[in-house]
Amino acid sequence: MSRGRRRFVVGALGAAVGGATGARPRVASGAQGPSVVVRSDRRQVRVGEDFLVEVEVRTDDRRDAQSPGDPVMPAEPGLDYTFRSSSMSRSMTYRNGVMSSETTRTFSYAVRATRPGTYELLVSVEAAGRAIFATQVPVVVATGAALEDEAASGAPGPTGGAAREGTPPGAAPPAQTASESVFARVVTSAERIFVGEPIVAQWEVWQRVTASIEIESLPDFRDFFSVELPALDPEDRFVGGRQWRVHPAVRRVLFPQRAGTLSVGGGVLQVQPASGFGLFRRPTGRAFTVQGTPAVIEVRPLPAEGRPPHFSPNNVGRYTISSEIDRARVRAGDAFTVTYVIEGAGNLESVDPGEFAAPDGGRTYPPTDTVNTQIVGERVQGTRTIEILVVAERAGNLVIPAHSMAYFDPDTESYQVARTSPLTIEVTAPMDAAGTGTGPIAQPPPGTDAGAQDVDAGGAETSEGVLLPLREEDRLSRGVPSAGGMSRSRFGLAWGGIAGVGLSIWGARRVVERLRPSSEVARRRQMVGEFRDGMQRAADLLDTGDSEFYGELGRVLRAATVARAGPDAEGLTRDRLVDELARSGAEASACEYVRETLERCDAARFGGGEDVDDRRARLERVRVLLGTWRML
Amino acid sequence: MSAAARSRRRARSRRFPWGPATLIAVALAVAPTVGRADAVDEAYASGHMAAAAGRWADAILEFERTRSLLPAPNAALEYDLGTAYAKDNRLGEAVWHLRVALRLAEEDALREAARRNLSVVQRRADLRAETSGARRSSFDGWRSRVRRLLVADVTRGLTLAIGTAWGIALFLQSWIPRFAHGKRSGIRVVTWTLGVVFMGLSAASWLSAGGSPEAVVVGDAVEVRAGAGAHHSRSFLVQGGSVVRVMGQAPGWRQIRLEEGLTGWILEDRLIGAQAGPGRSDSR
Repeated sequence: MSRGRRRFVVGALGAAVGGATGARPRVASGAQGPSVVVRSDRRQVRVGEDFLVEVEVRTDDRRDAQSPGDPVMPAEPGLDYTFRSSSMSRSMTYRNGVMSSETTRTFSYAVRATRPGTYELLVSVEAAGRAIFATQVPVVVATGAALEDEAASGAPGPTGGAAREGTPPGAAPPAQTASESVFARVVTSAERIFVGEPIVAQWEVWQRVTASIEIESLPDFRDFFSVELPALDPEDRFVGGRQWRVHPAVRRVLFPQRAGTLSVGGGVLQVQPASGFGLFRRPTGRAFTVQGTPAVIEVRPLPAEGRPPHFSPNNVGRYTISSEIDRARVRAGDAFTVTYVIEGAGNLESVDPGEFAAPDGGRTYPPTDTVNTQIVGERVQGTRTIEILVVAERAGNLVIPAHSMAYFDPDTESYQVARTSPLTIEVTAPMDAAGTGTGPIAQPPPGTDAGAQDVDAGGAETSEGVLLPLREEDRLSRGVPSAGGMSRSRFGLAWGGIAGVGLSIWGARRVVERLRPSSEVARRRQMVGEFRDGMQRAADLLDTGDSEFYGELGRVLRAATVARAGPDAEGLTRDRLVDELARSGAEASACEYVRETLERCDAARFGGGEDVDDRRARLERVRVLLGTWRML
Repeated sequence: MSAAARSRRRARSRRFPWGPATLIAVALAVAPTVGRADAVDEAYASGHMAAAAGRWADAILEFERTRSLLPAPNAALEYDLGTAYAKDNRLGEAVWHLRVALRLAEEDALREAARRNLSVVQRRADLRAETSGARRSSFDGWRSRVRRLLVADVTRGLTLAIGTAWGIALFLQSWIPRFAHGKRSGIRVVTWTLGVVFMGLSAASWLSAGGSPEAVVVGDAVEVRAGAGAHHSRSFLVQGGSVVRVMGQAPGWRQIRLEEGLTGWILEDRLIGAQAGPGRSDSR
């Protein structure tokens, strides 16, 4: 590395280190004064409802020599503030050789909106003579009517009576005793409704003291058809600057079943004041019973004006109805499904869809009914599906009539009618319309063509085809019917027979092959047969003369000698043949006799032979010789 | 013995009516046969009279009585009984008797009538199952059809014919020198082919004829449970008239399998034809 480059690198590193060490104090000292953080537990509230606001003020003890003052809440005319409590904490850190200490003060306020509007909680603190505002400002939206007279608002509590949700809870009376610190009430979403119109009722248990609370009896919904809603989590509410723990124990959608002034019972609680928590909770004082405050609802009857005949009071809500069939064409006798779907908000389980008219030319079966409801917000809505099985009874176009369902819309306070359109399905002739039988039973009835037998002849039975009539025999057969056909046993017997025959054929062939003599034995037998034939021919030639007799005898004897001496003797001259015979182990006398006989046979070709007796004696001698050799 | 005593005994003997007694004895001996024959016809006719009047329950009773009097099942009576059950909307019994009639019938017209009424009853059972949500099983799928085809008379006859041809080919190959030597390779291929086909068809037919016996469910939407006992949970419903296979048994219960493969336990009296079930098996 050259000197210039080294100087450049050292300079750059020094600049970097210097820059870093110089910048750190600037960053640390960039935030001057304390920091303010504001939190709100609600983003949206109702007018008159309390919510909690926390203001957190952090100061650096080493840097901020003067402690900041208390928070200054924004001067909004629609917000009332009630100071609840404050707390302080301190933390110390040691970093980069520097000890730092931070103090955090938390201020808690119960805030109530008295007018609707959007409020920015721009909280500030004063430090070193200047105002420091919160870096993040929560925004709270208050809805509902403005409070004109707080005292007139229904206040919850043991003496507050029924309070409609949405109305300001107001200031609860100061709870002086334990019995006044726990109460239950039923809150409904409306106080004046029509029969069948849904409302939401919530049974709330309020408490502001530590106590063990047991439900002795739930609110009574006897005049309502109710649907359970998902339970909400407990929450803290502030009433008159006091914090209450609210348990929404029961939440239901109610459908009033009759007109009049109805009430939802308030339920009964058993309360045992206690102190501590968890395993350390112990009762303090005497247990007492709390009777819940019921809710009173005025249920108006449905208006008589415009009411359709036979209108069901359960049909209150807002509905649509549609219909469809699952196919466009069927055969006569086949079934198809007509599906009606009622969709909307209301008491779907109790809504009366009305009588479904049976289609002309179709037989219907009892419908299947499926209700699928959902809780959306505080509404019960969903679908109700009604499926009707229809059996087409005859060919042609089958029309599913239009269906209408009347309902009362509480929003418009008028009766409405939901309708479906008629549906048409094509019905073709049945598959077995041509008739099936050839005997007297299956003959189509007189006057009907075969193709219409299934659909016309059977009256009520036409849907699945006509049952042919009974067959009345003159006299029932008493005999035991023959098994007939190829029963399992018969098949087994026949199979066994065939397989046995086949195996016998195969086995017999194997046995024969096993017992058949070998080729050597056969050749020997053939040879012996030829010797016998030759000897017989020689015997026959005894009287005919020398040449024929000796010629035949010589051929036999030579062949027998070759067979006795072995294959090497084939084609040898007489003397060498006899020598070969001697080497094969034949007796010397036999060899000599063979030589002498063969000579005699050769000589016989030139005449001067023996008489008949000599020839016979020679023949016998040769026969004995061959016998000795087992060649005869 | 005195003459007077012999005379009294002879007189007593003369008074006993041997002739009428013999007639009565013969009549008593013959009477059961005659009476039985008359009872069959009478019950059968009564059943038809009840059927003509639309009293199907009475007709069924009379036909069942007729059935009990007969020495063996009768195709025509089974057809009438099955049809009467169908008229009385007892589909399970109807399916069973019509199947028996179909199996026994030798006359074409009767067989066709039984087949037709059986198809009508099965369609009714299908409709009921569709409305009740119960399951149906008819063992009428391609596997069951192949199985029935393998045990059919025509298949068995064909198997035996092929076996006979195999035996002939084997004989020719083994014993006739002309075939054994001159066309040795050809006849050997034919023999082996026939032998393999014969053995294969025989094995398939034999195996198809075995297996679990079939039974018919009676009643509507019969409960099938997970085990042999009413304390077991309900697995599914099966429609009356369904044909099921009996896989096992426990006291009062039968394990069944539907065509689609579902198994469960059903009360024994809800099945027809389950008496000849397989070996006892333990219930869960």
